[in-house]
Amino acid sequence: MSPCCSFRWGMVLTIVIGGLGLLAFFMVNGDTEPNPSSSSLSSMAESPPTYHENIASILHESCSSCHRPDGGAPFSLLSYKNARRRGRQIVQVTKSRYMPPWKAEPGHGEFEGARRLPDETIELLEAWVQGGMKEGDPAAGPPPPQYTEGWSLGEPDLVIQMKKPFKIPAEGPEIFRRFGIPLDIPEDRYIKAIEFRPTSPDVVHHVFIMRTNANRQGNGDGLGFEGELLEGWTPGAITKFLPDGVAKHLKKGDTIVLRSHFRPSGKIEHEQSKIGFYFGDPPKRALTGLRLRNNKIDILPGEDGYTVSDTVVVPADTDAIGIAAHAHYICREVRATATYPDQTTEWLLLIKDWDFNWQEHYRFAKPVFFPKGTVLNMEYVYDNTASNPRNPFDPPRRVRYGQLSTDEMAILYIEALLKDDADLPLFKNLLIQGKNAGKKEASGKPK
Amino acid sequence: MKKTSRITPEDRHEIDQETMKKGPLVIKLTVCAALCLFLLIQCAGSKVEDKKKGVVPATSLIFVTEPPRSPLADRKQKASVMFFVLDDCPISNFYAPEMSRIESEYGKEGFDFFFVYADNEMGLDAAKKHLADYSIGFAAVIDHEYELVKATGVTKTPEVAVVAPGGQVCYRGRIDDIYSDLGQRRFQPGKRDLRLALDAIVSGQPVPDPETEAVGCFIPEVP
Repeated sequence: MSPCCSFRWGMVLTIVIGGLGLLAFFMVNGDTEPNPSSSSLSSMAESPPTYHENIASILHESCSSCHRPDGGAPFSLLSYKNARRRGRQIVQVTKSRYMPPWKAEPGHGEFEGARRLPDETIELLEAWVQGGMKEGDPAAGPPPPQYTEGWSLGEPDLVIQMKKPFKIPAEGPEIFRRFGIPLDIPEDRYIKAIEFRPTSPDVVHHVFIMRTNANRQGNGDGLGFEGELLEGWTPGAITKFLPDGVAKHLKKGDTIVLRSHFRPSGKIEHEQSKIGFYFGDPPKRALTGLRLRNNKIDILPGEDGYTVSDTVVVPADTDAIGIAAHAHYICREVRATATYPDQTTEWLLLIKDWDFNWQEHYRFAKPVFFPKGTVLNMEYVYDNTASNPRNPFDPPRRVRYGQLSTDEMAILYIEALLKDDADLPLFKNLLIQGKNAGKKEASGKPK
Repeated sequence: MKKTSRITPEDRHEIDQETMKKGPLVIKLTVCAALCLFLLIQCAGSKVEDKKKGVVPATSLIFVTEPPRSPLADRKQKASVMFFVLDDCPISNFYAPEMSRIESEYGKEGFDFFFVYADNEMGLDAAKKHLADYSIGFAAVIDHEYELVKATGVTKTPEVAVVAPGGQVCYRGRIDDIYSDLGQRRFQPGKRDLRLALDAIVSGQPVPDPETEAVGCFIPEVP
């Protein structure tokens, strides 16, 4: 079956996960809604913007959650001195919208923690650089934000680590490995948040954290390790607690399976990832997933505009809280809509410039209510031409469905809370498809 | 910032003063059509300038490796090949193995290779650690006042400048085209520009494409 899985605690599925096909479920990003100071904009003509008055707040809110010491990004942007060093770089990457990474198009779904910079903010950054990167009065600006050392939500209730370091060579192809990490919890626990911390951030492209009842001990050699997806992580993901009344179930005797995608960085690295768990009360509402997918993908070299789609009818009332898309390198556009029983259609997610490196679990700003009978639709468009800069092959090659990142996939996963837990079995068929469908365990109602 | 390796005047290597004075003019990429010759290759008759090397300007370079050698000193090599890098630029780090390969293949063709930290804040210890981490086995300097940056006109890391003994920049730009943009890396490069340039110099041909656009991290602004 496809790698997408439910996070539901009572839903006793062993989700069989293969290859790269997982949807990343990140605790969504920080509360970063950068606001350019309009007063400064109007006065820009007379005097150039200064760091403390105009720029510091933008960098603090939109950049420094990663661009800080130990923040995972290559360099810090916490101080005037640091920002000044990177002036041209800041202008380049914000104008191209490479940074901050946020691929969802505005006006097509409303999300928590949207990191997209308004045009005026980008202009302000450029005006600051062109105006000589003035420092201004330190008293006029905000102090740098304080970050907790180490774990971002404080000391976790449980920390586990890969049993030994895994060596990544200085160069070569991407590496996919699975690691079994024992949990040793004396009783069932309910997860409110999971934080992932790589020891060599330069080489960890993304990971999936799964749970399984099987005893898994391998350290990189467990190719067959499978499990139910608990969390996904990519660089830049910010750990957040699940909403009130929602939790993910971890069972006594469970082992964690860590599925890691490494990319060599230029030097030999040894990764020994840590995972921190924050526990809480048992959930009050059942969390399930709605998955759309299309595995019939076969794109000829040079083909542009190749499109696949899928549709799912929501079987019972739900509140959608999150959405994540998954595809690989040559996907260009991701479209997701909901058509309600009254025939109105609403955008859920639109990505015009899909980027394999910045997969995101988007959490809706407010839950989106899907009445029973709502039709969910996904449409993914691919560009297998040489002029697609993300095409890893030049000249292009034929690309078909598959788990390798050089294959393609088309998955859309929507995380939803049930109105009535008794409806849970109705959602099972929407999650369990394909060749691994027989592997599900008996279903169970959440307590 | 550590400057413990600041060299004494005795140690200083000769820097072509004219090259330094001319600044951006020198970086004009006079196509090295006449590059050819076996030894003492020079671009567009810059040998005259070499004669003036009596006055040695104070160099601000910090020499990371022994013995101290300046990429712009007059010597008998075909050309100096300078890889401009930043220790915190993931793209220049990614290229470290390829830089080493190019050095080992073309070093024996008479080119002189340098790993240049284009960073006004780079410390000597950090540079030494970085060299060891990335297994760089050739000469390295810290260009903390951007002498070499200004002389060659590079703006990013990784960016490479190939400079003939007379100071002419014969090639400036990317190592290859594996990156089409930030975050966009193909599995294999289609065009290995630096190797093509070095091959041309070895065979006495004009460098086919003497200036290319590097993809990478801007060299930090001078405070």
